[in-house]
Amino acid sequence: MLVLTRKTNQLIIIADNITIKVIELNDGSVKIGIDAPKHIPVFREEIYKEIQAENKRAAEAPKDFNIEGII
Amino acid sequence: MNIKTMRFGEMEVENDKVLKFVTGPLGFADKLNWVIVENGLLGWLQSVDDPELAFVIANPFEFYEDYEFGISQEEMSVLNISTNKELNVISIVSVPPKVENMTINLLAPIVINIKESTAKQVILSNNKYSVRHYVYGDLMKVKDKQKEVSA
Repeated sequence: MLVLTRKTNQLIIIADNITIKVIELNDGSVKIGIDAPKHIPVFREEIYKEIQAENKRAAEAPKDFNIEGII
Repeated sequence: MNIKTMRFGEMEVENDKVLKFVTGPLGFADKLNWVIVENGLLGWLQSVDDPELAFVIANPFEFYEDYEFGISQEEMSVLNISTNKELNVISIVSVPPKVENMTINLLAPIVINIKESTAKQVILSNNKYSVRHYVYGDLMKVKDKQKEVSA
């Protein structure tokens, strides 16, 4: 992993089209601004993992599950 | 085109019925081609790329008329949509072995551009919704109501 030290308002640039800016430091929290092209999805890790896990769970419906059986 | 599926055997699908995801559902980023198998209140979203991969799906508005749906301008433009009339929304339903415990993912629905048959799973900015909302009771209520109407 590349580790860089940045100060408030300094940027990190990834490729030609993604910038990450440290906006504010406050009591152990960092506020970060991200500029990326629209087709690049950006998520908080927790929410991304939660939805990913739920999708995986949803892909495991019982093999014999039959919609007509319940509706 | 002819596709193989674990749940439905071989299926004949018209090319323009194939939903093309801009990016695959989260956790299935490389699964871009899907087909909807309608089946009343619940349906299936079957992967064209993987015979064993299918999600149970539902229209969230069938159960929750006041479902608030807002997606960002960015998501709209990725899907080439400018108004709500151009889109359809489906939610993924998780069915555990005990069917009564089924849940619907209201936080991350799939948005479809109806005309272009493109789709994307989006995350709503409204955080009052959960990825795991119990839906069986509501499903039964809507089912009973439909029966009353047709009786």
